[in-house]
Amino acid sequence: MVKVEGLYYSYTNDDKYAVKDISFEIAEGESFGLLGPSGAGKSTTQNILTGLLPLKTGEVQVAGYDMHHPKREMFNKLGVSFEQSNVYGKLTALENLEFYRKLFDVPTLDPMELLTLVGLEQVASKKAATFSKGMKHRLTFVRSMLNQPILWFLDEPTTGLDPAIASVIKDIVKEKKERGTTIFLTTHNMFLADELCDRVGFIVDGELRLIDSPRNLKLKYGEKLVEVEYVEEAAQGDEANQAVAAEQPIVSDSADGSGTGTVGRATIGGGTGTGAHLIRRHFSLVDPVEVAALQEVLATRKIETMHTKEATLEEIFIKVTGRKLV
Amino acid sequence: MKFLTTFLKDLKLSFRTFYIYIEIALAVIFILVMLFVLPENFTTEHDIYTLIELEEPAYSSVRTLFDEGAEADRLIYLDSREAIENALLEDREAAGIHVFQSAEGRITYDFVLQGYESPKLVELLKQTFIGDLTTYMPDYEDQVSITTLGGAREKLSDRLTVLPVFLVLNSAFTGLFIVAAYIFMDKDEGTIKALTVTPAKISDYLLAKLGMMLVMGMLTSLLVTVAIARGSAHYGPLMIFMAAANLFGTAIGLLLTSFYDDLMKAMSSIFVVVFVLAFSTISYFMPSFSPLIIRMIPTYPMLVSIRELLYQQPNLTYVYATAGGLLAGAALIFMLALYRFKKTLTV
Amino acid sequence: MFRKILRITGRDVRSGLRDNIIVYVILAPFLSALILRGLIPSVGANVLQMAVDPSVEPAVVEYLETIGKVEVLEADGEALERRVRATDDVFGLRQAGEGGFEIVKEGNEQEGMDEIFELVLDAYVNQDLELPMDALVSDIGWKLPPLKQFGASVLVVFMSVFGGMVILINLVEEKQDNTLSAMNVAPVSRKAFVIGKGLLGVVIPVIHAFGVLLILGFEGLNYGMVTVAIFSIALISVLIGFVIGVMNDNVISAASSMKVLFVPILASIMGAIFLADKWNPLLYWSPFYWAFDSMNRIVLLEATWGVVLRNTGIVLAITAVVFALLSRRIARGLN
Repeated sequence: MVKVEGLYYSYTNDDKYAVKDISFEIAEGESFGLLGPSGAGKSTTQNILTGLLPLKTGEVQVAGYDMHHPKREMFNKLGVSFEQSNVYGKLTALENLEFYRKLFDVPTLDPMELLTLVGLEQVASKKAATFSKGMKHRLTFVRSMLNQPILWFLDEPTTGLDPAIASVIKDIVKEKKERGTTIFLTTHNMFLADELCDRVGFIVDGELRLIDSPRNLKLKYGEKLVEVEYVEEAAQGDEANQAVAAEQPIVSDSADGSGTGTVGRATIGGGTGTGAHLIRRHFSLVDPVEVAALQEVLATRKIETMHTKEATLEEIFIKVTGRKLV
Repeated sequence: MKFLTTFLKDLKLSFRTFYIYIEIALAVIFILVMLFVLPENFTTEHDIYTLIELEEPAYSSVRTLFDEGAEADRLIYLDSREAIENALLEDREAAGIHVFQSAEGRITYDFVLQGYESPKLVELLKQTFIGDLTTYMPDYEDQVSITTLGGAREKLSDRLTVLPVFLVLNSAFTGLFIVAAYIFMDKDEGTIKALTVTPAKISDYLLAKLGMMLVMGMLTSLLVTVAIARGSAHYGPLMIFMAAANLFGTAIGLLLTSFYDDLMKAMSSIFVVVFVLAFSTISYFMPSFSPLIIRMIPTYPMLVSIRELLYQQPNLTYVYATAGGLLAGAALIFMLALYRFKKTLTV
Repeated sequence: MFRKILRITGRDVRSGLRDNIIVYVILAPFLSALILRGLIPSVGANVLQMAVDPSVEPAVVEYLETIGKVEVLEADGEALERRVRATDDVFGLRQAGEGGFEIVKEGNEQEGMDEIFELVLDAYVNQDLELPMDALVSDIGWKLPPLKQFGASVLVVFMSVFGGMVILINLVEEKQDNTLSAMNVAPVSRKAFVIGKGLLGVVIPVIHAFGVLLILGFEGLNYGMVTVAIFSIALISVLIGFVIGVMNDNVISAASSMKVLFVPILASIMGAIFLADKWNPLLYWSPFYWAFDSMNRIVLLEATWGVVLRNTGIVLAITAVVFALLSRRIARGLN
């Protein structure tokens, strides 16, 4: 459905590339996630795929069309949901959809049904300018479904939405996916990618570092973790913590990808110095040093909570690319 | 079809932004001022301060000559040469006539001017007076005939003379002035991007803008012409001409817009262009000053064509030729704008 | 306070120079003055324009050249008719019979010019007649042509719009970038902000006016009066910039406000130039009229301090009233 080979793009027409040597393929019916921090080149890649940016270097085929010579009719097959909602403020929600509907040459979905799908049926005849950010976003989202696209581009579809709406949108995407729609998702939300994508690609500084299925990635890079919260008395706590810190660095901000342990602390009872602290730590069940540390904590501290945890895609991303997803 | 959809949407949008009402309000203000505030002819002929220093009977015969002349109501009689010069100091556009008996005893006409008049104008004045005088002489031979090529032109009132200026600078250039703002609004809202990922073409988008501006321009031109020219305009050709002129204006607006990435830069270049285009009004009002460079500004034939259509017997060939030229220009400029926008509209 | 004001002004200048637009806006009046300077000598130089058939004798052409602009056609016959039908106001002339002439006109030429042409030819044909009277032309030594006089005043008043535009561009830009909100939470007083912005609107028209008057080559002007008159114009300029910039946060409304603004300016100036004197009171409400009146008197060298100060007072009063009426709206727009 999508085939990209040796794609380069420079906004300044020199060798400052926003994306460099990107190659990947997406099969029909597959859902593919392009993950990376802001400015990594996700949007540039998607904009070239949707024809918003001209293809300069490389080969790109989208839905069977060569993007060196894009045809207007290809957009009958494509749906694009933008990260920044872009609807006509002076038109009502329904008028917005009715207008775009008429631009397609293929059968389209009923605008009212689409509005109902995302809970906008009550405000169908209100001008979009009066909408909240989330409402505009939902309108932009359902607009991309009008022409029942076989290839659906979703740019940060749930960013900034409240969890209930985000979940509605995820369900809609899942349903379309099950019906065979090919999905191209760009996001920095790894949980969303984990949930929706068959395969993900990690992009950093314009380069595609790795492509695989979330499951494979977890098997390959993930480790079993235990998260423990325990109470530490003030004096002993400082000692113990220093000991822990000495043998195992606090890596919450580390970019070297060397460890999975994190330590967080909170003072209990509001006292300073003399009060007890609540410590939260992750222990790897694979690393013998950490297993020993866990055993020591279990033996000597008062445990408040304890969970086993799978590595998230986010943690894997950090491990692979050395970057956080901000 | 997609052009039509986009056009109807743009039209709906334009009626929901207040700009179109501003256009209509401006037209109404223009009409009200022209019809109710100003008389039909509001410019003034400049005064001629006059002194006749002659004995009778010469005085009476010259005075009679003056009173029967075409300029009789512009003459203001004063009683000394000094008074004439003082009056000219007060009114820098006035002139004077001093008639006196010279040392040789001959009646002498002294035309008192300000001093900024060109030598040729001074000579023209003198020869006109002499020519006028010869026609009264017994041996005068009339050897000059006048042939008129076109239909005779009646004099238009000041009100009708001003109308073409409003029609060109306001109605024809509606799009030139504002289309940039509409395109940048779409850019800011991001709706251009949304359009780009539908099967609609960029040309559909731009044509729709052209259409919207055409509707606005035709609306105001019809409104103003009906109110001011009433029955004396040739509406059929006028509407055809205004449509061509409006398309031409909007096409220039689109082309200028395509060069800039923010509105304020685009607007400033549009201001400069409008300023240059407005220069032709000088020659329109002052026909004796019409150098080729000003006649080459497209607004000059536009003004002249619209004025033609207010005469009883317009030169339709000229009007349609101009309209055709404007349409061809509009098409060419539109193609250029389209070419540029294809590269820049979504970047 | 003073340093902050200067800093706000300096920022506006810097971001302005980065955009060519401000450069245009600053250069436009000087360019216009240069164009005007080039045009002045040719306007009114040739009141009568003629195209003559090759049949016309050189002596006649020589005579006609003393009274207007003559174009001798190379081809005869229809060429004359074609030339007359062109869009400008040109009369055709060919020899008709022994010593006679035929004037060819299109019919849409300036009224009365055909009669003048005819009389001029009468004078030539009958030049041997003994006339009972003499004609001479004198003048009172006033060398300033109306185009230069009005052109200078029009340019100076229009500059107020340019000064206002600079403010407007800055304000709408700050709104778009949301730096206006940032300014509101910075320890800069509202007053310092307003003065900082307004300073440009005053300085630019003053520079423009002096530049334009120098380019046009005016002599003996009272530059003290010029400064006072421009100060009043600059105030209008600041008012315009603030009102439009502050009230509009979207580009369409800012652009349309600019367009609406041209109506009172054009109406005041055109009215002051072309309207018969008795209609002038119709324009008394407009500060542009009073500003134009001051400038016009100054270049005519007939301004007195009394009149200039009176006009400035009227401009100040109108400006104050408009500001007072809109002050709440402006304060709201700045938030």
